[in-house]
Amino acid sequence: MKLLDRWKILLGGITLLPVAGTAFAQTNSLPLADASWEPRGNGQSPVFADTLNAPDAINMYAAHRSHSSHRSHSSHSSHYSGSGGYSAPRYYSPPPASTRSYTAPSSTHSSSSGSTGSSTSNSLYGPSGSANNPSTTRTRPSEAQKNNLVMRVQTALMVRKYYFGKIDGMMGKGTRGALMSFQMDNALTVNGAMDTQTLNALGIRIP
Amino acid sequence: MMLRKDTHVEIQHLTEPRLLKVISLEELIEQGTAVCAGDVGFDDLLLWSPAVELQRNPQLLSLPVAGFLIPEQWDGHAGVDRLLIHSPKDPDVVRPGDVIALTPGNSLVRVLYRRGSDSNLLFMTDRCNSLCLMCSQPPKDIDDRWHIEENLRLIDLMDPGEENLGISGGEPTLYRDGLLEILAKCKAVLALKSIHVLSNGRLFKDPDWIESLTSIDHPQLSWGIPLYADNASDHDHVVQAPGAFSETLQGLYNLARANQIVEIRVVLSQLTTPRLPELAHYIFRNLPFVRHVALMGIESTGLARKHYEALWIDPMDYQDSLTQAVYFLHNRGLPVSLYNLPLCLVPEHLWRFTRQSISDWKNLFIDACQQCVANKQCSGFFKSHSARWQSRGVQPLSTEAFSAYARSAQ
Repeated sequence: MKLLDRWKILLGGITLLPVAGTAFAQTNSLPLADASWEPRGNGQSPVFADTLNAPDAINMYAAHRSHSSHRSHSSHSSHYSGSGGYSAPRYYSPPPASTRSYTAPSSTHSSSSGSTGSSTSNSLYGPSGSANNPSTTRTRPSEAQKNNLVMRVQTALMVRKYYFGKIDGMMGKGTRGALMSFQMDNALTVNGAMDTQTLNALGIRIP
Repeated sequence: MMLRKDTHVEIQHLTEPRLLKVISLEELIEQGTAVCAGDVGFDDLLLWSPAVELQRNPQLLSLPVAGFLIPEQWDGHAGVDRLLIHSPKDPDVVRPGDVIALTPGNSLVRVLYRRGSDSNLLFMTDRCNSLCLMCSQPPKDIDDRWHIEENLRLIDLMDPGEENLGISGGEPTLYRDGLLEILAKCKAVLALKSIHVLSNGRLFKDPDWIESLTSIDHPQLSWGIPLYADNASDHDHVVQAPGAFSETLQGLYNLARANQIVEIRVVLSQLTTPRLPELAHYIFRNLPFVRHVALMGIESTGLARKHYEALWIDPMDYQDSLTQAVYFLHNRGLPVSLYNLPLCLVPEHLWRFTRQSISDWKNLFIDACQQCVANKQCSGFFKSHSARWQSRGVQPLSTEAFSAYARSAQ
C-alpha cells in the first residue's frame, strides 16, 4: 500500500464507515446453524423420552401397600396451623429502642435472637422435613409423606374414573383395587403397588 | 399488560388469616406439595378448580387441602363447610402457582407471589430512617415485625425455580435479624433465585454487618443503594436526614468489605441532575467496587407529589448531564442503565442503556403511546403517571425513528 493510500484511509472517515458497516452486516447474516438443523423431513416433532420419573428413580413408596399404625391424616399439617397463616403482629413484642435484636416471643418459636441465620435448622424456618432433610426422606418416608402420595394417587385415579371413594390418603382396599384395575388396563404389572411404572403412567412425580 | 396484585372475591368459611399456595389439579397430581420450595402440607394448598371440574369430580371436596378456588362467576353451593373462594372481580389476578393472602372479613385477595413474574417482592417494613423528598412509599412509624414471619412463610410457598426476587420496604435493614434470617432462608430454600435488596445503606456503617453477611455467603445477592450527590449537603437534603451521606458511604465500604455485590441507584430530579456528571465521577473515583449504576426516572407518587415544585424537571432538560454521566461511566467500564425513562425522552444514542424496569403490576402505556411502534422495547410509565409529570417530549416513535433502536441495541 502506498503511503498516499494510507493517508487517504486515515483521513477519510467517510470511506471507513461503509467498510465497517458491511463487515458488521456480514457478521449478522452468517447462518446461525448448519444444514443439520433442518427440520425433520416427515414433519413430526422431536420425540423425547418420558422423564417424569427415570427408570432407576428411588421409589421408596413402591412397597407401600397398606398402612398399619396410621395417624390422623391431617396431622401432617398441624405444624403450620395457626403459625402458617397470614396475620397481624402475633409473634413479636413491640420494637425495642435498638434495632439490633428482637426478642423472640411465644412458646411456638423458642430460639431466634442472636442467630445470624447461618444455620438452616433455625426453629423459625418451620418444621424440619423434606426440604431441609433429604437424607431422611430417602431412607424412609414419613407418614405424612406417604399420605400425601396416596392422596395424589387417589386423585389421579379419580380423574381417570377408577376411584370413587374419599380422598383420604389411606391405601385401603378401594384404592388398591382401583390401582390394580388401572394397572390392568394399562398393561402394567398388576400388583396394587405405587411402583415407579404406575406412578409414571398416572403422571405422578415421586416426591 | 398491567396486572393488579389484588382483587375482590367471594369468600366462604375463612376462619383465620391464611397464606395459601394456589395449585391446579394437574399440578397437585404431578408434583403435590413439591410445587412449593419449602416445607408445606396439603393444608397450605388452595385448589384452583373451575366449577365444571368440581362438578365432574365431587370427591375433590374430600381432599384435605386448605380450600378451593373457583376462578369464575359462580352462584352454586358446595354443600360442605370448606374454605371456598369464588367469583373474582378480575379472574386474571390469581392464577395457579401464585401465593395469596386472605383475611377474615375482607373480600380482598392479595397476591404476594406471582408465578413467572420478575417483580416479586418480600416487603419487609413500612418503617424507614430516611424521609426522601421523592419517596414513592412514605414510611409509617409502626411496629410491623410481623412482616418477617409472613416473608419466612412466603418463601416456603414460592416456586423453587430460577427467578428474580426483590426485598424492599421501607428500610429492610431496620429489622436486622429478621432480614439476615430471610436472606439465609432464601439461600437454603430458594437457591435458584437471585435476590436484590433495596436499602439506603445507612445502617451498614455498623461493621457487625460484615461478618453476618459474609457468613450467609449468598451466591446471588445484590444490594441497590441510593446515592444522590457527590457531596453531603445535597444528598442529606434529598433524603431529609442529616449525616446520611456519611453513613451510606461507610455502609457502602462495609458492603465491599463483606464482598457484596453493590449497585448504586440515583433517582433523577431537579435536585440530582445538575451535578450528575460530578456524581458519576465521584462514584468512579471512590466506589470502584460498584458493579452497576442505575439512573432512574422519578415515580410520581407518595411524597414526590407533595414535593413536585422542588423535584420536577422535564427529562428533556437533563439530557445533557445524563449523557455526560452515562458515557463517563460506560467508557470506564462501569455498567450503566437508565430505568423508568420512556425511549422518546432519551436521546437515541442512549437508547441502548434504557431498560424495561417498571414492575409489571404498575407498568402502563399512556394514550400517546398507542401509535408508537416501540411499546415492546420501551419502559412505559408508572401507573401513577399524571399530566403535570408528563414531559413535553412524549411522542409516538415512527418506524423510521425506531429503526435506530435496533441498530443501537447491538
